[in-house]
Amino acid sequence: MSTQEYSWKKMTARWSWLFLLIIRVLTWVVAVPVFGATLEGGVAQVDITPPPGLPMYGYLDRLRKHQVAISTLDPLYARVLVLQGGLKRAALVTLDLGRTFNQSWLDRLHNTAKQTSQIDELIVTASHTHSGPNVLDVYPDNRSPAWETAALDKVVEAIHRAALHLEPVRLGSASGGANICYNRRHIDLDNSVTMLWSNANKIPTTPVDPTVTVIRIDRQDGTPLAILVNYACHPIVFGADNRQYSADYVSTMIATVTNALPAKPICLFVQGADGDINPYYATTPLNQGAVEKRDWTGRELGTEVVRIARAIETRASAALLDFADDEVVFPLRWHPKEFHDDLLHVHGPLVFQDHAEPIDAFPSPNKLALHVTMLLISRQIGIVGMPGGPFVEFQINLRARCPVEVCLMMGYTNGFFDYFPTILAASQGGYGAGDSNTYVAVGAGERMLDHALIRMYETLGELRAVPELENQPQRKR
Amino acid sequence: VAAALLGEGSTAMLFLRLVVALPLGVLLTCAPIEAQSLEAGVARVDITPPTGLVLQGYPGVGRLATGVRDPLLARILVVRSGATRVALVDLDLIAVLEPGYLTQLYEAVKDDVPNLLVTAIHTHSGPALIPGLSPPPRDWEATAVAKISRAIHEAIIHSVSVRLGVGYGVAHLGHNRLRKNRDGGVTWFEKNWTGVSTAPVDPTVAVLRIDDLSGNPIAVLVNYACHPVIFGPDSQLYSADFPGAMTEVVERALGDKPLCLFLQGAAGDINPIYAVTPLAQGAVELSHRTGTQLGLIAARVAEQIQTTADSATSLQFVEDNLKFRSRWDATQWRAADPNNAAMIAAKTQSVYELPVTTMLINKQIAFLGMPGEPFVDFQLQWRARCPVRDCFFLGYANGYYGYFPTIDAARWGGYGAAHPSTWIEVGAGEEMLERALIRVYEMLERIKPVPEDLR
Repeated sequence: MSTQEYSWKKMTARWSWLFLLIIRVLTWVVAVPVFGATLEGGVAQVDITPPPGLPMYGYLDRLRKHQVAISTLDPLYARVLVLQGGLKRAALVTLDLGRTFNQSWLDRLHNTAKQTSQIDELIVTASHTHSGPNVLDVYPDNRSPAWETAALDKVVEAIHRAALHLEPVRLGSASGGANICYNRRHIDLDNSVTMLWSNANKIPTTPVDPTVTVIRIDRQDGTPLAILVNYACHPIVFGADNRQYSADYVSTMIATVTNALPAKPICLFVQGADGDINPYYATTPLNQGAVEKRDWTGRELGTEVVRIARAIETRASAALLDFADDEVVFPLRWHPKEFHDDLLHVHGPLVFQDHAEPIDAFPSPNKLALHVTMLLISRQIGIVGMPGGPFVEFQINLRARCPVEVCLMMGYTNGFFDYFPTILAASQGGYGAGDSNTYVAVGAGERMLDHALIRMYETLGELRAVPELENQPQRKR
Repeated sequence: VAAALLGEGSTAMLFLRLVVALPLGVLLTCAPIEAQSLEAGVARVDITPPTGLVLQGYPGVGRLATGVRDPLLARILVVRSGATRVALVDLDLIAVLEPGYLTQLYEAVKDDVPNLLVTAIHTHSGPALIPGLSPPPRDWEATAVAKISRAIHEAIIHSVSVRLGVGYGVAHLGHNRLRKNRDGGVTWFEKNWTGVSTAPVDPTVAVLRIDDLSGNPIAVLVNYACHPVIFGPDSQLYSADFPGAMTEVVERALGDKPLCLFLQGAAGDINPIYAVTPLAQGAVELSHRTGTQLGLIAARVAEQIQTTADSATSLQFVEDNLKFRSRWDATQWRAADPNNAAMIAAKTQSVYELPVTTMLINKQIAFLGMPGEPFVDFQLQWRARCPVRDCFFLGYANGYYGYFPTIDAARWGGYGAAHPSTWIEVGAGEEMLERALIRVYEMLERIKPVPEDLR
């Protein structure tokens, strides 16, 4: 090593701290929230497709046969929308996955995003594709797979990127309808349930919510920055014979939307209350045209989204963000220990990698704390998140009681506790309603919806903290 | 003989034994076990307090009872099926007795009747039982408990096998007293003499007739949602208001044979058309008229009911204690109303335990009891969502915790919806209703204790 080289390295080492400080300050200056009077938005997306060789989510048979992913049909993304309203900043992260990552992952993401991007509130939601990697709360060796850690870093970076590029935005919303799905629970005359696992003949079923809700977020010049699509339908055109990673029909839908709209906005799919809703061509075998059926389903939805999005006239929106993320505690629906032991006995140990994972603990929990999420954007758009698969009636109910311009129901949000049937559906039984795929107390869905709506009404000032004291009729003393 | 002919131990003999034995076995197995019948007994007792007590329901220090317009009764129906026995105690009072006296009553009868469903008709012409400025008449409460427990035992003694029937009528005697305005506000709509349409209202008169096995009526239960507030603050006589007249009409129409019980429904926002009528403007006549109209409708329904005895009877009863928070922020409320610290403290406790009662008779007739004043929407929802055909809704049951508005009504505000008269958290009514619904499904074994794939 020459003396000159040595001096240069010495000098670099001496001043590197200053260099790093300058970079840090510059980053901080750029990323620090600028509190304007208009709503601001920023978007980003990142490929989080894991390497092949992982077990896949969604079908117990595939797990039992130890069939792992062999390649990628279409990449899996995390898409990020960061919103800044007044002093509050929130990040919505949509994942092309079967469910969200575990609580530890969510906490780490929230903490890091808070530090690096000043994110106050975080909503992470999954599309529920059954062609993604399997995600568990606890892994057999107690160590998260490397790809999950890598995904965490990527999402942190995407949030940071979106936060760095915040700009004033305009909001608009509208709804349409898409006829691509059906209710997979056929209620017989004797009130029993027959599961209708696919419905290529498009036999009418009920209840179904064909509503496609689109939120358009424009830059100030009117070009679309982001398109939020809310629709309730299981992404399961691909069945258990598929061993390629895919976002299912959601990927086709998103491609259709981004290619059709100017400036190629980022399209975020927000899965609705799809607990009992399948696509018509559900679990189509690959050799019977699954890819074409996936594309048909996604194109139908995407085309409708494009039609709706084009018709939306965005407007300047108030810089207001309101948020609630409450833990609501519910008892277990079944006897905890018996349920755990019966699951093991009937389905074998792999069952907990398919469903009911929160029960696989010692001692078996008799209560579960579920995150119920509420986000109000500009007092114009209300979003309710539930940590699992709510049945579609909850979405219809939310829309009927929505106190703002538009309300979206998000399933698979900020946690995962399998299915939430309505009380009526629980009494009828069937998959996700009366079997081991649902284990939170009957009535939990109704309670969570009421809870989120009450939070929304409180936020809007419609529920007071103090009783009305004036003009009360002079009664009951 | 057969053994001698066929040979003991031969195949033919074995076959013959089987042929003979099998029907005998079946016969023994199917031998009629005496069918478990439903039994019921009734009793009534006068619990009218002495004069001089404060009448509750309207303001005015010194609204003391000076006499009795019509006696205040406790009406008791005891029902039994197998090992389960329930006493339904219907009181001509503004609310049920204080918790300590309900416990006394329970203790006095629990060996014979472990399940109590105590409910009040909510008359505003009775003694003060809702915690407030007026001290409750505790000596009288103790006396009432003793009388009621004796009456319960009397009803047990007189119990007979019964058959049941349910029918429905319609009576437009009440209106919704919270009128929603286009500006988002609510107007207090106390009386409605001109019969303006309001909503929501439930005009349903649900009638349960209980006969002995010969067809003689023993009891007629009339379930209707309407505040008994025709008598206003100028009345100083004890009265059951219009339900008193109603029960008389029904009993008379059925030959004075049955005991008629008025079961107040979800009357939290429902007033009678002739609410709070001054005595000088005919309150006595209008109360009588309202009670008579309802009574005639209920009697007509009751007369047409064909009671039947079920071959398989059953009686199921559950009381759940649900925990709720206070709706109000104590600090802010004290700041806004510094002169009512004691009342505010009572209504801003960290947790309240509310008893929710569910009863199912013969897997066909469901009862839901809420401990306060539910808004009428809950009654409509109960009937729409309840999985059996006949569903009765009882307000003021087994306790009193103020008004239970729906979430939507709480947003609108107004009396009972956002006033100090409601203090349990928003959404409590919905949760209580749904708990009872789940209980009925469980009683019907339609919500099962084990997942279907693990049975």
